[in-house]
Amino acid sequence: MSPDEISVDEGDTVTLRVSTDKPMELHVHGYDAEQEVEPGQEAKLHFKADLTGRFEIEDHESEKEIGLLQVRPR
Amino acid sequence: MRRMLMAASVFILMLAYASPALAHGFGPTYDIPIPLWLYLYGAAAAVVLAFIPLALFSRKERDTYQYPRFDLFGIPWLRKLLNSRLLIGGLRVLSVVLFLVVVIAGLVGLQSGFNFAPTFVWVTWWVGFSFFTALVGNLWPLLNPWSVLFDWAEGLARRVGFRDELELGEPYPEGFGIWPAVGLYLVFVWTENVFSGSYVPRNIALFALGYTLITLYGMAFFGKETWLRHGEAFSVFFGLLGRFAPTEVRVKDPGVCQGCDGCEPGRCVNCYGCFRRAAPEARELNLRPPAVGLGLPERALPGGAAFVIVVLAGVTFDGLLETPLWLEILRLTPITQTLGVMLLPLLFLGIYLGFVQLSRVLGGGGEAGFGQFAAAYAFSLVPIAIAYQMAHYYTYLLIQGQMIISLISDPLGWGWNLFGTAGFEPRYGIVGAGFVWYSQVALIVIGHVIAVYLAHSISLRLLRDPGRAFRSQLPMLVLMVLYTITSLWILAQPIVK
Repeated sequence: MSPDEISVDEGDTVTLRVSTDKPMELHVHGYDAEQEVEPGQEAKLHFKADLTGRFEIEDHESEKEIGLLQVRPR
Repeated sequence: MRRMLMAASVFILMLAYASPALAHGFGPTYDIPIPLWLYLYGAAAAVVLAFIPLALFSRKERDTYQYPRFDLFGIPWLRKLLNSRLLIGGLRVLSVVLFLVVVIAGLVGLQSGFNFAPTFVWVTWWVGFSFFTALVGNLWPLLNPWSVLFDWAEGLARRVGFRDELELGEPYPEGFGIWPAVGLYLVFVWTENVFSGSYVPRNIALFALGYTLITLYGMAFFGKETWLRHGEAFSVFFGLLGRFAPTEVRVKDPGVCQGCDGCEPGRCVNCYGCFRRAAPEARELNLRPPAVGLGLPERALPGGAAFVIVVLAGVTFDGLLETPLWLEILRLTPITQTLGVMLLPLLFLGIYLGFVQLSRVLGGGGEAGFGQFAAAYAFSLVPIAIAYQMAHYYTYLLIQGQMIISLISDPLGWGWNLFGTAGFEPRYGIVGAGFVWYSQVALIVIGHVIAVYLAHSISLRLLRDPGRAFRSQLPMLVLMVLYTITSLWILAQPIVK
């Protein structure tokens, strides 16, 4: 995943615009944010960063970790 | 509160994706590194607070064997409950059942994804049970599945007409001390931190079975108690943590301790072999102030200090692995992960022995020799390691530990739902990152103060002179501040994979 790690502050409203080379189901741990992504299309993942800490971003299709979300406390 | 709108473009290339090296056995870290300013405050607190115990407690020599205690066996109903065959036998059966579930799940269960073995071994047992041992008391001598299996095998042998015990009772070479446990523990630390397949269920089962062979053979060859005290790495490890615990077992009858090399007759504390042999009236189960067990005089076995140093280094190595510094070391020097596991304890040992020698130069030797100093002071560093381990792992235990709730219903990953909990989803965000930061720094600073206090009471015991004890403590304080600040520094490092 590029960037490897996304860093935001607590309370931020986060929008991830995601593009991929393979169909996948994106999931941000700790947040119930899930989004299917298809190659050639930009998908949007939208959530409010209200839990602080480090969370894995994974692909539910392959059960692999692809990146990290870091939410810093205010 | 100001709300920010964050937007990021993310591009995911699955082809270029490589499996990340997982730190501590398995599972992610949830903590954000502590910020620089908090790290500096923590470090400053460690330096300042180091001198407070010295100023408060430096007056008189005291016997570290004397401290307030309360015998739980003095309460009749509690005595009955804690000695009931149902409770004790039930716990022992449960322990063996869990051990067998780990082995079976490891061998035949689903190898990727849902499996009981990795979570139970690395989270529930290794992290969770360690915390329990340090904070409550050491139940390992009771629950140790290898010890239970050995007892059962002996009972069975007797029943089928075997007159002799299963133990061959070969004399244990005194010079070996607890070196076998040091070696096995080192292998375990390597497995935990370096071996890339440490969270693969089948590997866990194979390691467990291999270790079972070693342990049963050791117990049969040298005698059960002898092997548990010298060679069974986890008995020695949990025994060490149990010295920190606010509970102890004690044997009042000195006759029980004849021939035991783990305690001195009349001063038998947390010597589990003796406790087992003692008559019920001769047993005590005491509440006591935490950490006093680490300051007790004990019979130093060869390898005793080395074991403590290997534990301290292992705990630090676990955190160091995730720092950018370590990546640079791997990149720029011929050092590998495996070499690191072996070199770090040697480095720690060298630094430690150097400071012990300095302490003896400044404080004088007293009646005790270098070996006795080296053996005694090592224990005083243990609270820092325990505090660091807790700071490093407690959120991991809180979050990853919840996985066991669903796994217990479907241990093999075959889609069962034995207890109706298979669908349980772990709750994140139990503790916020801000609270985690402060609690981590607080834990380490508290561990540090306990360590300083312990080292000082040990020096009073060995030197029997407040003035010399004070001088002897200056190098030890520097050593502790170094170790504490290293621990804090690791928590402040960005985590890399």
